[in-house]
Amino acid sequence: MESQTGIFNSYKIDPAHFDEAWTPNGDIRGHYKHLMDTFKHLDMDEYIKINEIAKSDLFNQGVTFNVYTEENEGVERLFPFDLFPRMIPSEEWKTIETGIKQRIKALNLFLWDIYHEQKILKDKIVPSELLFSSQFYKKEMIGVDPPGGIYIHITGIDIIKHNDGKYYVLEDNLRCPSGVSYVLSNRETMKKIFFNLFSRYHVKPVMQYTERLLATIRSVAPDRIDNPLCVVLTPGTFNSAYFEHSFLAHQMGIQLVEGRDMFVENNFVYMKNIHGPKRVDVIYRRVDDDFIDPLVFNEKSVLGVPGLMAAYQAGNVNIINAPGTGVADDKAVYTYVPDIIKYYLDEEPILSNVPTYRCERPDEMKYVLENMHNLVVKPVDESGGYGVFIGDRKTKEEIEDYKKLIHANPRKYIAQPIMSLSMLSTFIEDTNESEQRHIDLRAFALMGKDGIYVLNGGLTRVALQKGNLIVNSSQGGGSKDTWVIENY
Amino acid sequence: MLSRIAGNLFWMGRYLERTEHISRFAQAHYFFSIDAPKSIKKEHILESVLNMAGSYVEYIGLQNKMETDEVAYFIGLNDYNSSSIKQSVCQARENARGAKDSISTELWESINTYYHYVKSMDKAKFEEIGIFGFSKKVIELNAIINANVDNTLLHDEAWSIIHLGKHIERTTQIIRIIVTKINDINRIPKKEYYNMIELFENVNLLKSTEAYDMSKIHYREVPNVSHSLEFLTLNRNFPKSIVYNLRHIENCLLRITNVSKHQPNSLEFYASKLLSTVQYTSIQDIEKEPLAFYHDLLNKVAKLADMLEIKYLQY
Repeated sequence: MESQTGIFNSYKIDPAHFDEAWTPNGDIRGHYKHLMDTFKHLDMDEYIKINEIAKSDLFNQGVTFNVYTEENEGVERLFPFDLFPRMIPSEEWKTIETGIKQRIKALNLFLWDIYHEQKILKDKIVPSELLFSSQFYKKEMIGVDPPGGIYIHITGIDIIKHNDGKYYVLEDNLRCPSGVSYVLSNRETMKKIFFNLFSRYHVKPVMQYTERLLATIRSVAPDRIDNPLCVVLTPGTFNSAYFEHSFLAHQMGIQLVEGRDMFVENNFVYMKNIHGPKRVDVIYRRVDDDFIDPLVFNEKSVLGVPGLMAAYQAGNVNIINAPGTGVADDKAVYTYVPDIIKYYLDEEPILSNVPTYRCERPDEMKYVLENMHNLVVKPVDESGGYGVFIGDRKTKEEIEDYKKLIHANPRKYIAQPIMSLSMLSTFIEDTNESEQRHIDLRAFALMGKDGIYVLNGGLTRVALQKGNLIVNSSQGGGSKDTWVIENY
Repeated sequence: MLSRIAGNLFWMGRYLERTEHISRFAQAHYFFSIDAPKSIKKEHILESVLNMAGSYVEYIGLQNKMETDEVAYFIGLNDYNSSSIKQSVCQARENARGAKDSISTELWESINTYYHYVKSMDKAKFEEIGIFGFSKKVIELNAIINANVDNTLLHDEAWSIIHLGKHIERTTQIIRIIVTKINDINRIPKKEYYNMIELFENVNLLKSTEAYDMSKIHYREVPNVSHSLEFLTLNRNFPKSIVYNLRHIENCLLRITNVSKHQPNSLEFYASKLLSTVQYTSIQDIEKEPLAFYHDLLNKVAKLADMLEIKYLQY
C-alpha cells in the first residue's frame, strides 16, 4: 500500500470496481506512477489554484453546453472538467483502434446493403422486421448511392472497461455524435498546465482531428467538384451542442450555417450570401434526420432546408452523415453487430459487445421482466441517457411501472447486465477531496475516401455523482482528458 | 459571407460601441456632479445621463426619485432596463456567438470575458467599485476587443461589416451626446453664472467623447461650445467626429462592394452624399439651428442603417 498524500489523503478504493490508477491493494498502477508523482506533490491550495486556472481557461473559451429545463429555457453551463487524466497505454489503445475500424467498416457495409440488395436480411442474419420497425430506417435512402459508398463519415463509439479489465462497446453513435470539441479544448487546457508531463509520457496528439475532419468531408464531395464548398449545419445558438458546432466550423475554417441560410433551386443547394446565392456541395449537418427537410420528413421543421433530400438524391450535394444511418446504431440492432462483422468481413469481432437481451423476443423479455433488479433497461430510440432504467436503484413500485412500459411496446426496449464501469480519481469540489467516480470513453472515428482515422483517446466522460453510472453531460456528467501514452 | 452572419457582426459592432459610449458618458457625468456648480441640480445631471443612455422613460416608470446610486445601477446593470450596459453586452455576445466561426478565437474570448465580467456583477459588487470602477473596466475591455478586431481578423468583408456597425453606432451616439448637451446648455438660466455653467457643460461634452485633450491641442484656446461642436462634427482626423466616422462608413461600403461608381439611390451613393453634405457644412451653418441640424442628421444616419439592413443583412 503506497502512502496517500496531498489531494489523495482520503481516497477510498472500492474493490468491487476496477480503478484505472490504483490496484485493490492501494498500489499505483505502473503507467500512472509519474503522473501520481506530480499530483501527489500538490497540496490542496495549489490544486485548487490550478483547477481554477483550468476552469477559467475553459470558461473564456466558452466551453459550455445548454441544459433544457421543464420550462424549456436553455441554461448555459461550463462542462465540468477534471484535471486528473485518464491514461491508456498505446498497446491497449491499438486494440481499441483496430476494433473500432473493424466495427465501422462492417456497419458501413451493413448500411449499404440494407439500402440496396438487403442480402443480410435475405440470409436471415438480421431480422427484417427489426429494421423496418425502426424509426431510423429511411425508405428515402433506398437505392441512393452516397459518394464513395460512405454513410457513416463521423462516428462516436461508447466504450467501457468492466471489472474484468476488458473493454466493451456500449453503444455505436452513427448519427451526429457530439463531444469531440471537448476533447480538443480539454487538451489545450491540459497542455498549458501540465506541459512537462506531456513530453514525459509521449502523449499522442489530438490536434490534427479538425484537419482530418475537413479532409474527410472534402473527400466525399459530389463528383466533378474540384474545390467543394463545405458547411456545418447547426440548429442554431439555442442548441445544447452549439459550442461544438461553431468550434468545429471555426477550426476547419468553413461556414457555420442554419437551415434558414440556405435554399434549394433546381435540385441544387445554395446559401444566402451578402452578394447573392452561392452553391453548397457538402453539408456536415448537426441536425437530426427528421428535421433536415420538411418536404420529406417532419413537415413542421424549421431547422432544415426544403428540397434538400431531392438535391441529395440527385447527387448534387452530400450530407454527412448520410440520412438513415441511425438504423444501424439502434440499440436493438446493436445486439447484432458481432453477427454483422462476421457476415461482411468474415472476422471475429475485436471489441466485445455487452450481452444484451431484446424484449421483442418473448423468451428474452420473460428473463428481463424476472430480473429487472439486476439489469439496465434502455429505450432503443432515446439518447443522452434519457429513459434509462437501472434496476438495482429502483423501488418495487418503480419496477412495476417500468414493466408496464415494456409490455406496451417490447420492441422499444433492450436490457443489459449492470456493467461495472471502471473508476478513476476525480476531484469533487463540494468536499474538496479526490474520490472514485465511474468513467466511460467515447472514441471518435472518421471515414472518408482515404480510409478510416481514429482520434487518439477520445472523450473520457465521468459520472460526477457518487455511485452514478450515467456519464452524459445533460445528466450531470463531466469529462477528463484521455492520454494515449507511449512511454511509461 | 452569409447575410445572417453579416447581421450578427454588424449588431455585435453596434452593441459593443454603445456600451462604451454609455459608460464614458456616465463616468464623465458622475465626475462632473462632484465639481458642478451648486446651481446645477443633481437631478438634471442624472436626467442627462438617463436621456443619453436611452433609459429615461424606463427609469421613471420604475422609480420615484432620482437617486445617484440607483441611476448608476439602472443604466449599468438593471435587468428591467432594456437599454442597460448589461443588456447591450448580452446582445453583443449573443451576436458574436452566432458568428463565432467567422471571428478569431482571440476576439471571441475577449467578448466572452467582457460578458462574464458584466454578468458576474451584482448590486453589492457594483456599489463596491462604483460607476467609476465599472466604467473604467468596461472601457478597458472594449479597448481589448477593438484591438482584437483590428489585429486578429482579416480586413475583409467581415471586418468591414463590424466596422460599419461600430461607425454607424458611434455617429449615432456622438449626435445623441451632442443633442443631450445642447439641451442641458439650453436649460441653463441666463443669469450671472451662465458663462461658468456653460463652460462646465462644454467641458463635460468634450470629456464624454474623449475629445477634451485633442480639442485643446487643436484650438489652443479656452474651450467654447462653438469649437466643441465644430471639433466633434467636422474634424477630419478625430476618431469620434461625425465626419471622420461617415468617411469610414463610406470606405467600409466601398471595400464590400468593390465598385467605385454607384447608382443614385443606392446605399453607397447615399453614404457618400451624406458625407459630402456634412463635410461641406460650416460651423456657422450648424449654429444657426443646431438642434434641427443634429436631429436631421440622426434621421439620415438611421436611414443609412436601414438601407444597409435591406441590402446586405436581410435573408
